[in-house]
Amino acid sequence: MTTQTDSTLYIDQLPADTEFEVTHVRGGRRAKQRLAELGLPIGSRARIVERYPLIVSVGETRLALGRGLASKVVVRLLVDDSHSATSEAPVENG
Amino acid sequence: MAEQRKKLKVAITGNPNCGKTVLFNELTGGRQHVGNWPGVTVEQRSGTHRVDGHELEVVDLPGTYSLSPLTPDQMVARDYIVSDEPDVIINIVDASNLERNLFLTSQLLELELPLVIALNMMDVVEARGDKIDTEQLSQLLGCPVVPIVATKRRNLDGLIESVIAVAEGKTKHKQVRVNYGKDLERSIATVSTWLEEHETVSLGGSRRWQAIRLLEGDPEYLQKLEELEDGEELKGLVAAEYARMESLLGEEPENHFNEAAYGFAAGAIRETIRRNALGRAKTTEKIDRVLTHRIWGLPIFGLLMWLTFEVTFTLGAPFMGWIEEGFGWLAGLAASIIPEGLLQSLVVDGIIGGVGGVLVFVPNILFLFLMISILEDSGYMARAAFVMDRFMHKLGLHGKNFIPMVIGFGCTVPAVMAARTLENPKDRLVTILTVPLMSCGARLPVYILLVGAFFPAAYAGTIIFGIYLLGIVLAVVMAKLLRGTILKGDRDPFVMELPSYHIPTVKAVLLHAGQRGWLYMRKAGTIILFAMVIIWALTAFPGEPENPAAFEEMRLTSVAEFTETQEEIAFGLGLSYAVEDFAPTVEAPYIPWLAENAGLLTLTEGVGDAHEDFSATVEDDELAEGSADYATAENELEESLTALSADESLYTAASQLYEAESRYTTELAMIGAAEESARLKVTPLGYIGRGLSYVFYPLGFDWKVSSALVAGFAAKEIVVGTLGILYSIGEVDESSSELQERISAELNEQSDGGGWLTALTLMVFVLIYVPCVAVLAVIKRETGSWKWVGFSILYLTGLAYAVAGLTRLIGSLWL
Repeated sequence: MTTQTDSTLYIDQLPADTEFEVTHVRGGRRAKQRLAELGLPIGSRARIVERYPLIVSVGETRLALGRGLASKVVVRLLVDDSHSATSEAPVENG
Repeated sequence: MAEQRKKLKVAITGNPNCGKTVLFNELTGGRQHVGNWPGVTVEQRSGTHRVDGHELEVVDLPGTYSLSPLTPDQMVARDYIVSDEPDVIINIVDASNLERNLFLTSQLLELELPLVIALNMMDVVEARGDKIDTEQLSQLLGCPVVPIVATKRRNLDGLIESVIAVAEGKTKHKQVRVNYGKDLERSIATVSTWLEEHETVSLGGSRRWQAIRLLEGDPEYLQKLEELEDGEELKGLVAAEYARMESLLGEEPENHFNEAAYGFAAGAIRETIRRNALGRAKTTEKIDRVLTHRIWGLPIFGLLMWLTFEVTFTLGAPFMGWIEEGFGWLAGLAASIIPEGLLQSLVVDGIIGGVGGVLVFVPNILFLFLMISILEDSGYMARAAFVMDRFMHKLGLHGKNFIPMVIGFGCTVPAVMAARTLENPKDRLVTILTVPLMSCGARLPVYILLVGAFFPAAYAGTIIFGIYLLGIVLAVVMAKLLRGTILKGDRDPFVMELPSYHIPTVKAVLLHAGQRGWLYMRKAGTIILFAMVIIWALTAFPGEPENPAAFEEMRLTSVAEFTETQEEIAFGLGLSYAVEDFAPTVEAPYIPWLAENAGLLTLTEGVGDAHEDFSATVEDDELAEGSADYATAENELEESLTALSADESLYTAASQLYEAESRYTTELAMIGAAEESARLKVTPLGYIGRGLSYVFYPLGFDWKVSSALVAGFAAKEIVVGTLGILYSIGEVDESSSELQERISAELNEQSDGGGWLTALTLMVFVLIYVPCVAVLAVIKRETGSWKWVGFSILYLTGLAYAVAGLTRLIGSLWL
């Protein structure tokens, strides 16, 4: 899944209103699990609502991420091919 | 009928913010019991719900997002579900946020326990125009799905019917499993089979559940393996399977477990929800644009904190006043019923004083938790922590640490209780241990007294502010230090849900605040009462000073002087009297002819009233001597006195009598205070104070200050009062200029004019040293162990000694 290793993109580097997919979480099991149970597991898709402070929208949930954690979440930018179709309904994986 | 009721154990579980507690409150009403889960400081709430023929014992489990616990709350929820085996589990699910909520559901399904899904917040779903096919969802999940609206009590009867049907086996239960894919399923099967072959081995839960927990690397389950007899073999098997999965998948298998669970949830949603294509109401997002704004977020938070503080202490103040008055009245009543002596002292000072000391905090606690409940239930608290996190993170603290710290400026008792809002147990402990450093309201009188006595008024504000600032700095430094040493540990990864904003229901808020208040009274109250009685005992024996006769003699001298003056006045008026049978006593110092001269008595009373009016005006309006208003008041006094002076000789006599009377009363009060001071010197408190004065010698505290500090252990307010008694002034408050003069004179004498430094050292010491008994009781309650109470006492007192010593050392450069 993490094929492009040349330029790793972190969640806190994305501009507001972009959609992304979580590809990797650096760091411990706790961080990964906490993200997963709150709706942001590896492979999930979400949207940046605000950058400062970092708020992410996953499905019907809004999550706030602290600075420390945000710098550990590796993401892939989703080029909005189906943006208009998915922007209203929550994005789902699979 | 009633005795035929069948008992059922029902547990409610679900994500935070999905209406779980509302459902619990609606089901159980007033029949609730709040306690603590054994061994942890997590609230346990249980209650009963009665329907025809059944009595449901309902347990409200702490909210959790998954059954892989990260916090003690979640651990409690899982342990209860896995080990206590309730008859039915109600999984309450936020229908407006199904995907995330079904993640927990997918894990509950693995446990193969009787399950009913309560699909809550259906009104929100309907308002959006979405449709959920609950029949279909029930088929997919293999258990009953009941749509409800907990806040409106909609269909709660239907929910209970389903629960009973499941408990009695009337609903057929289809076993549904998340399919984790070929690779993972094979490993699950291998481990399950091993467990089946070793029937005696059980880590809790179904075999499939155990296999998944082990393969996912659940630390608690792996730990349990260590304690098993055949653990080694199973451990090897699990490790081998884990490695196999990892090599097949090319990454950590737990990612796949999570992904499959979400895939399951997403699949269920696709088949059951018909979404309204129209745009959603984004109210919450709009509110968040303001409340979590990068610039406005902080001031808004500050404003709300200020409001919380104001409500807690300003609104609480009159109630506190009433409670104090009520107990004062009660004390008076008891004093009039019980004859003077040890029993009266125990009842009045010990028990009534003690219970009053406990109850006086209740209004504060109620108002504080009322505010916290509103902030929490509305959804703002999550934002607050997040807004503050930016700032607190730099200090090595958690965003939520801030709230208890602010509360701490008012009173440390509710501040320690407010630490409950922190999830991480180590963050919670750090907060509980450092919050006493925030200078509480009860310490202020001590500063005011000392600053007034030793420093020019122009510097007073700055010095007191400096003391407060010192407290904040120490709290931050200590928090960082503790977190880096004895409370070292994983910081919680900071990610939290920002729930949709709700208008909190009055019922939930009131219930919440009421339960907290009751909890405080029951648990902390008993400890505080006990401590108050002990401190009373320390000051109650012996009942008199070493040489009571000396004070009696002083009183008789006063009486004699007073009588002499009366005789002179009588002589001046040319009155005759007979002294033969007259022996004045302390209680009845007036010579008999006075009672016969009604005119003189009335006139004396009039003079007294005029003087009293004058002092009342000066005190109430805080008139400074030399000011215009003061002069006006003086003129008024003059006028009323002139009006009385029609009969000049009688008026002169009345003035003299009035002066003699007031001198006599003052003298008596001073003798009483001196006697009380002398008595305290030989009580256990006095001995402790004298012993401690050697320890405190380097800080410059004499035995009186040392004793007052010991008494301050009961409540910091007491320090000023005790100093008043020990310096023989009687009952005083912090603005008493008499006490200020006395202390200043004595401390300056002891240290050749260095009294100000002793005062400063004392202020620093009072800021830091042992919190009062009430705080210690709450610390015991919140941490569940005396160990942390002991630690608080030792570390705070040590710190106080060190910092006060340093203050003295640095200050002595100016001496």
